[in-house]
Amino acid sequence: MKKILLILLVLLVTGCSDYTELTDLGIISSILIDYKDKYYVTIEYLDKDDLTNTVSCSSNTISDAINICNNNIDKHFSYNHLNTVFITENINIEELVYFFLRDPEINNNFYLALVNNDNIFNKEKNIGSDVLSILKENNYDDFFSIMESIVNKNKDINIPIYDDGIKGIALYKDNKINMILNKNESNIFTLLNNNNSINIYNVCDDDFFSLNINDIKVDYIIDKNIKVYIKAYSSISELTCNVDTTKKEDIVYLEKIASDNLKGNITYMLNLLSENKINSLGINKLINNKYKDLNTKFYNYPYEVDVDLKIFKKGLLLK
Amino acid sequence: MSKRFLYYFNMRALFMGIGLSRLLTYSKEYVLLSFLLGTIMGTIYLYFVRKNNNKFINILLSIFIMIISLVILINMISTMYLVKMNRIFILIPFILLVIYTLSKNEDVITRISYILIVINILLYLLSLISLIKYFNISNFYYTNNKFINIIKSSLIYFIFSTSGVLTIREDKNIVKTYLVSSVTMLLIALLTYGILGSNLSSVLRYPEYIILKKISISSTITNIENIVSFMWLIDLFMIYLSNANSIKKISNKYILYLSIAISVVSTIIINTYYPYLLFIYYYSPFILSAFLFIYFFINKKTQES
Repeated sequence: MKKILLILLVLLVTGCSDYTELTDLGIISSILIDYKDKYYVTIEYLDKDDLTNTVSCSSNTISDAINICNNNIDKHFSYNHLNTVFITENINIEELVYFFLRDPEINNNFYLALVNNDNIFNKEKNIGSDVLSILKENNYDDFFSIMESIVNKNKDINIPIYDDGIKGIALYKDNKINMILNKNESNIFTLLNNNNSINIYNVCDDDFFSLNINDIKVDYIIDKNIKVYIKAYSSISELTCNVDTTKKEDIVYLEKIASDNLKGNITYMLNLLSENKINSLGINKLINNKYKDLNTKFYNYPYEVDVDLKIFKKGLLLK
Repeated sequence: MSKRFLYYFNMRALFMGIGLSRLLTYSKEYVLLSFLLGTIMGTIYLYFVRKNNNKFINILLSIFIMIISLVILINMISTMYLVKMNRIFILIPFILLVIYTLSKNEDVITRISYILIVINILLYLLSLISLIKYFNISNFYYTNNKFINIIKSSLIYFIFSTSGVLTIREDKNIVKTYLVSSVTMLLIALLTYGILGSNLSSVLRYPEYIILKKISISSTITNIENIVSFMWLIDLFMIYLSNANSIKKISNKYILYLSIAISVVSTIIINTYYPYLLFIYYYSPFILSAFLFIYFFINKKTQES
């Protein structure tokens, strides 16, 4: 009896039914989704010899469109290595998030990017993988963070705009695009999200100097007003001002200019978000926590910005 | 051989897919408080309520736990690992393995628990260490949660953590093991809520599995959630095995095979229609709490007599 059981066990665990050979898998790198009366889907998948291929189709639902695409090629789609999902501004982001959240085969670590046209793919390049690297490098929110903000309803989302490079950020309010930030505004916005890899351009008399933010910590303290404390450590990347960087007072002078400049930019960004009532920084939940009231909103509170910027590296040049 | 590792598995197993998602839905930002209250209730209950000698009740509870654990296990495997595979093919090898193990003496099951505890702890530590960086304290934000919900979630913790050991307990003192398993479950619950936040942890069927998708070791080792989630499979396998073994001990092999058959047929029926699954999801705490009450009542009668 025991031997029969063992033989049956061995026979039953030799493989999976409905398995797919690796060569028959169409490993999806990116998906582009557009909506004009119905969903238009273009899927970029890995083909042989390190090339990518695309297939396009349309239907009334995203899942149906993807199924049609899968039936049009001789491979079986695999979502395990999905890198980027490109969407247009017509897409209902909440619907999209729940679609991806429901499917157990899809990982949550891919990125979302907004595009204006559907002509972004190139057979020679793996666009999905390239865009993923850029977005990851610049600390943009991945799908998991976007999903968390949408489902928890505690933060308005932001999605980078891709057009042969990152051209800005789309700020959403109540899951609809409300505002587009240009490249410079995007830098300040990402800095407020504790992103440290940006450059600040500063003017001194008729010349300029550029600082690279190496480390930044942004704290939001809720009191009678919203206090934004920014502590940043930076290094000089370019300097044409007539100063001597071996002298303490000149370094302090540069730090003062850069701090005031940064403070001005941050105040501008906070005012912009406040005027448009966009809770992209998630300050509402801090206020709700403080006052135990879900109806209090960040835009009803004044801001106070305090910047403490230090220069701790000057590069190889002494002066 | 001590059965403390079996108790450890059984105290955690029913949380996957049913217990933890319901607990987080009710407790929200007060996870810690819910666990504390639940653990206090569970400790008091397990300290005073001892082994029950009523065979009928023991067999009934064991069968019910076997049904729940098999339903969770088969659903979990067919949702996460073998999405397109027929559930019968997942069920048959599992049952054959259980029957083969039950054909051995009890020491074999205890020895299996000694081996599996090492794998379980390693996977647990791996998930804990790799996920700690995603823990966000600001996810414990104010949600206007009512105190009655905290009590409900404490009761859910108490029910799911204690009912798994009632039929198999032998040692007089299992409170220490209970406290250790409570700490491990608390850390998982805090981590899940700290990563997912309030609504997201409520809408997901397997929130404790979804967080494992974030595991990434130095950006090279990713997509290992299916391996790490084996810790839950081990828990479920052990609770099924130990409850089947408890039936074997107090009855004959015909009742044992009948119990296994009941659990298999029930699982097949429940898995064919989603509302049956929802019945298990919503009503299992009530059925288990009825058993807890019966055990308490019988225990009181025994002590009085």
